[in-house]
Amino acid sequence: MIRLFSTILTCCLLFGCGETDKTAPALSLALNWFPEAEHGGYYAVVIEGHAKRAGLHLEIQAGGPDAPVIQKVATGRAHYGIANADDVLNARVNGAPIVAIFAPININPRCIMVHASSNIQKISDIANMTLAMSARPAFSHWLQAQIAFENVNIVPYPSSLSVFLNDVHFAQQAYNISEPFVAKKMGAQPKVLMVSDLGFNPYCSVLITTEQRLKDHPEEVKELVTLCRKGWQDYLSKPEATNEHIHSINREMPLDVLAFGALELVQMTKPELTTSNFGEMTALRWKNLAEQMKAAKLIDLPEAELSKAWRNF
Amino acid sequence: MSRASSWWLAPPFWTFILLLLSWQWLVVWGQLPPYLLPSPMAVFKVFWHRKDDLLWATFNTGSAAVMGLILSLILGYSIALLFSLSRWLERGLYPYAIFFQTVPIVAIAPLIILWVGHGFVGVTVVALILSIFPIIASATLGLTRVPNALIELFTLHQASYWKRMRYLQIPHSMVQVWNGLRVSCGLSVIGAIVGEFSAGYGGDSYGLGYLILFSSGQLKTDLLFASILSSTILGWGLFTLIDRGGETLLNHFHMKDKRAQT
Repeated sequence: MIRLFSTILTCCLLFGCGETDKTAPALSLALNWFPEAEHGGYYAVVIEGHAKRAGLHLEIQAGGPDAPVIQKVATGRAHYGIANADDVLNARVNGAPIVAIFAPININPRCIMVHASSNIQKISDIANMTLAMSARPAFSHWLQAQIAFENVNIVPYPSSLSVFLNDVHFAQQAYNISEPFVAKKMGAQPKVLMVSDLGFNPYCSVLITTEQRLKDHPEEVKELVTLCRKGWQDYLSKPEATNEHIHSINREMPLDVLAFGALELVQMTKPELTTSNFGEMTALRWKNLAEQMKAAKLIDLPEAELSKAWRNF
Repeated sequence: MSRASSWWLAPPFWTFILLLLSWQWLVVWGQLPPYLLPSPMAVFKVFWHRKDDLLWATFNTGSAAVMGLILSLILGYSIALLFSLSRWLERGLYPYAIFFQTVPIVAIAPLIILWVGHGFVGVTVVALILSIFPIIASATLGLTRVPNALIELFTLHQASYWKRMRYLQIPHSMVQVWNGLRVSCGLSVIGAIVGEFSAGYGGDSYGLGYLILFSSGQLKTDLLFASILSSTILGWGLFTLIDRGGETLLNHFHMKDKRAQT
């Protein structure tokens, strides 16, 4: 009785009362950011009609800067979610039974954007300037553990381009599929330095679910991965309709930025895999990431836990 | 004296213990996973292991909060003095003072960085913006709403403007300002933390805002709670300092708490 009461109380506290509609036939997919090109293939599953043909009702929930995707998926408030591979390992190490099941993007879009006039050619060249990186994602800790930046003031990520545009001695984190294009439009000459070039390349925009969902609905998971595979291949070859839709629900994301993003993503999903194994992950890359996060003193994940963090379909 | 001090310490202490017990109970009986809510034990463990980091962060955040609060007091009281000069001025400017109360600080943080730069100054400015309004509001009230009988008394004695200011209005505003400070001190801590989210420090100096961002991004809820608790302790310490300090000062100015006299 006490236990029941405390559980109800906790649920009410954490999730707000009244959300108990778990029998709804719709499958929910929680995004980790506002709808943008990195989610394009998932939207294409709906827009290109793949979900409808398969008799699935996929409901995509937009995210934002603090979207608690891992928590939502782990507690069953969303059936599926989109997260980055480093989030998945953080989840595992903190006891959340999250599993990555599909990873469409091969090259992580994470980059450091500098002004071309600074003559900086690679990330380790960054010196005597201000570098804005968020303390949230793993890459910023890994970079600081790897590179002894000389006289670099590392400051919080300002979530806008205004400081960058006004200061040539300012570098900031970005996604190569988005900010550099906007900065160029605003008259700057940005140079993009990919973090993946240094070897830190976690899968991004990964489809995740829980161990429980895999156990209870293995067919559904398999089907959804197949649909996402089709959706992504559609998005990479003809992104227009999906981009129109993304723009209609996220007016802040102009069509030209989306078109640029979709075009860049074609390069970033290479080397091209066959239709059947597009989006498959490798043990080596997961192992690499776990080791890199350990080197950055972020997590120490046991081997057994790592193997449970992902599965190909 | 000892009775008096234990009187104000005991209730918060027991509330704290009760809160901890129910929290632990909730986590254990509700079988809550650590990524949703860590147990108090886990939080205390991380508190102990990372006490140096937390102390350093609390010190940095606290310095910016205190500096912001001091500037709030000086600037806020000056603005209130200006308002007390004329009703026209107050009416004309007061709506704009509300700007400080309502401005979405996260949205203008990038501008603040452009104007004053990253680091201590930027963080202090955000703390100032968040904590100034209660001081303007309370000081204006204290300076202008003086009992009629007292004003008449001063008029009767043909007191000059400065005399009335010096011996009536300013002393009368002290209780209000004190109360404004008690509201503002918590806001200045929040301001410093929010400031650190966007205008924060570089290099090795980091505040609680950094720890909060880092721990929430990495799903380290125990460290997140330890950081939140540190900021609460900081706010509580600042409040206690102002509360006690103000009481001593007011007693000195013969404005005793009426309850203490009966």
